[in-house]
Amino acid sequence: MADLEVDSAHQENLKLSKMKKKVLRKQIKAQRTLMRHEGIECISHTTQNLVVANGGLGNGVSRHQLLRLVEECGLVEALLMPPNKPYSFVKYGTTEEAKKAYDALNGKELILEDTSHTVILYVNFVRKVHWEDIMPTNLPPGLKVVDELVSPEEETMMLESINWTGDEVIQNAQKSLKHRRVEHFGYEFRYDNNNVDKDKPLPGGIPEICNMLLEKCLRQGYIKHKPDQLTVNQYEPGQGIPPHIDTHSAFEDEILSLSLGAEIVMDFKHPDGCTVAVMLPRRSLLVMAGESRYLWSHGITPRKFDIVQASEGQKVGTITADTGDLTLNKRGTRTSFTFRKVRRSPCNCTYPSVCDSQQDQQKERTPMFTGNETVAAKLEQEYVHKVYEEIAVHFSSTRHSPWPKIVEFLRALPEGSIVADVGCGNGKYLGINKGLHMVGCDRSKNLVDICGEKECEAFVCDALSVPIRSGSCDACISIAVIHHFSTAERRLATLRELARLLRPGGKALIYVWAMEQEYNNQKSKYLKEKKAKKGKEKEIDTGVTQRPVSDQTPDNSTQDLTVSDGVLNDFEDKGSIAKQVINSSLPVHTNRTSFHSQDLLVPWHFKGGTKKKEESITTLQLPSGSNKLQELSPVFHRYYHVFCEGELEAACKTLDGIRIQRSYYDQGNWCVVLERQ
Amino acid sequence: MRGRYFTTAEYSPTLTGRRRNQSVPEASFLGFGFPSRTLPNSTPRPEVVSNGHTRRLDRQSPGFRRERSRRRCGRMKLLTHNLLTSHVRGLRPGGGYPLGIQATEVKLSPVDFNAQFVARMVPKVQWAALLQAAQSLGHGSDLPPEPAPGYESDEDFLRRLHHVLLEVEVVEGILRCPDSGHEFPITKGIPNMLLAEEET
Repeated sequence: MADLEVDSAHQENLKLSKMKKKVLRKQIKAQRTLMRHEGIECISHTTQNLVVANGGLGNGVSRHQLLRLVEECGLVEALLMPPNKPYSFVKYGTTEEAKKAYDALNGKELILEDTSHTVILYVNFVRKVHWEDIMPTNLPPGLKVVDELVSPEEETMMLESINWTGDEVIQNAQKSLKHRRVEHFGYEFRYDNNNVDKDKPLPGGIPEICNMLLEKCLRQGYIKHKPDQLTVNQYEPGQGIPPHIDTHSAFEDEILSLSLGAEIVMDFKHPDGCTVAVMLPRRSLLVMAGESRYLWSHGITPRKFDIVQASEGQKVGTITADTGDLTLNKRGTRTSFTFRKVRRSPCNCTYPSVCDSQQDQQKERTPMFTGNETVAAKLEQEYVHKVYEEIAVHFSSTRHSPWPKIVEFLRALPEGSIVADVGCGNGKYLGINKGLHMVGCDRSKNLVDICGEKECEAFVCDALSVPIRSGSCDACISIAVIHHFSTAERRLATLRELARLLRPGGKALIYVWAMEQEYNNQKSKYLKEKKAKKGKEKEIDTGVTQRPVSDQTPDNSTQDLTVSDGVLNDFEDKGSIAKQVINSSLPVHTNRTSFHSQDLLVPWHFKGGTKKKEESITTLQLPSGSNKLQELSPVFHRYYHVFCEGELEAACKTLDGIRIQRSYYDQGNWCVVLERQ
Repeated sequence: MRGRYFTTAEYSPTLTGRRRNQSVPEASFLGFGFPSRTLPNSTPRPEVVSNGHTRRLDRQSPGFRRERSRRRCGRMKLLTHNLLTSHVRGLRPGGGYPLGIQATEVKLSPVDFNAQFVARMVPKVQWAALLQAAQSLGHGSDLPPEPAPGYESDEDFLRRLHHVLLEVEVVEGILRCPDSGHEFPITKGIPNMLLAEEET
């Protein structure tokens, strides 16, 4: 039947007037465009459903105008108008009605009510209309819209009180800003650095007329501090403001914005891409606090019409993407009063990724050594991977006492938890809790082999790329690993990788060596042991005492520097980039002393060639190129970045979806427990 | 060393499914009573080379124990295999999983059965991947296509799952990325998951 229709249409087509031919051509073009750009397939046989090209919110057709038109042809079950699209869908009760509408509306000229432009509608049948049930969107956390905060009389008074001076041309402003009128009180907001001159208050302060309003806000608890800066913006229809977050370091938490003269839709956007359109009715107050102030950007799209909910009583709140209930709303001239409190101390919000105060701090703290990726990788290869490969057996023999707090963490996990130990070393934590399924991994093949000898499960990999599927672990531990990565980016990447492994609710325990070896006037074990050594001679690991993460050999370390020089010179002959970089810039640490630099080389006094000669000398590979030092116990140098107080937390805070559950200091190490949300 | 070795000679999973050594009782495959045989009795005494002389260690000496422990090796259980994924650069999101197993040596080690533990693993494992891994080692028939509702109280099912997840161990072989074909070797039970660019 469909074919017949098409055929007969074709035959008639030959006799059609020029005008009708044009409509048909355009109708077919609309079909192609809908298919190509929107994936909407038009069909030739009749159905209850029509797609109306050029009849959308995106090209200025309002809901009630189109609805009136389509209702003339029959009972409309649904009219779906997707936001910002130049087409709509109509669903009729019967195919007859739909056919009637098809005949009546295809090629119909429509004069837009608001702009008196004309558009021509092109109608096609579709199999189905897309009807998605969309949950009402929530306001961004911390956002409030208070309706009717001021009376119409107050509104008039406030609008009249503004004596526009900055008319159209604004000094130090970006070009885009010229599109709206701006006036500042209290302090001038500078658009070149998006901040205020905190030492240069403007004479007169905030206009008297605003005081009543601000007192009310304080009383109602919308704000904690009385604002001292006011920016008045006037937006004509078609004007807007690009999405932005008010500079953290410039203003305190709560920001108020009073909408006068007309309503407007403001768009809020989360960094993850989630957008929420919020209706700001005339005379309402917008309060941005917490997450909505610090993390979400807000802006006004420059346009003459807003897309709003068509149904009654939906004046305040968010605009959902319910296509069955959207229409256009003509904008009027809106004047906004934005009240802010100038910040006097650096911002310490919990959103460091968007916080200028905290990013500055991090910059100051950036270690001296910030090589590029290749150099960093080379350095770690030479001064971490190779060294552990060489010292694996000796290193392992000094590592058999698990740390109490790590044991506590592992024992507290529920039976049947899947746990990854990223950087497991000799695997001393892998068998702590038999009720867990624990898997270890380490960059050092020789250390992983030792795990294997203990009949633990472990594999070889790099902490920057752990081959475990995302979200599969109930917990992770990373003990004394991240301090071996030589740039802030690489350290952060390892944290991100740990977070990736966790399921929501999963926990990660992270230990790194601390710059502060004395904390709360307590010396760490690492420092204390030096003293102890002097009394006793040759202490062998008792298996009882807790040792610092980067425990050194129980060896007298007075000769560190001289011996290490020898090793370094020896290495230099190979002439790799990393070595050159390091030799010129990285200090060599003296064991069991406090640190003087965050990035350094820590000596390891290799043993095994002397005392346990008969058993292990043959099995241990002695360092290549250091044969001449073999007799006097060779020294290896491991690269470390020791963490300052707060550094580990700050890095963790930049991770998305991660909460720091706990952070503490444990025997010369900074430790955090993270939870995936 | 407890447990038994089945090298390809006597244990060929891909051809015949499960072929059993006669000395292992039927029940042991469901996790009951493994014969407790230890490796040292059947292996030659370790030799150590020092100062240029070869010397046989006394069975009671600490050196012997150390050497014996050196001969122990790692293992990859199928539960761990279920967690592992290829991480070759440029894979599509979620790609590189599951890794194909090509085993040349598989070991069965008895592990105490804990019904609750095994039941808790069910929602955590990717069943299709486990099934595929079990099949490639000849244990596919031990598992149903999907865990049936009420599996928590189905001891027979849990014991079979326990066996597949925890007692079947790959000692030697290859893990192959299903997308890129990259091969990760397993030697002495240790998968080496380093990529070429990460290798020193």
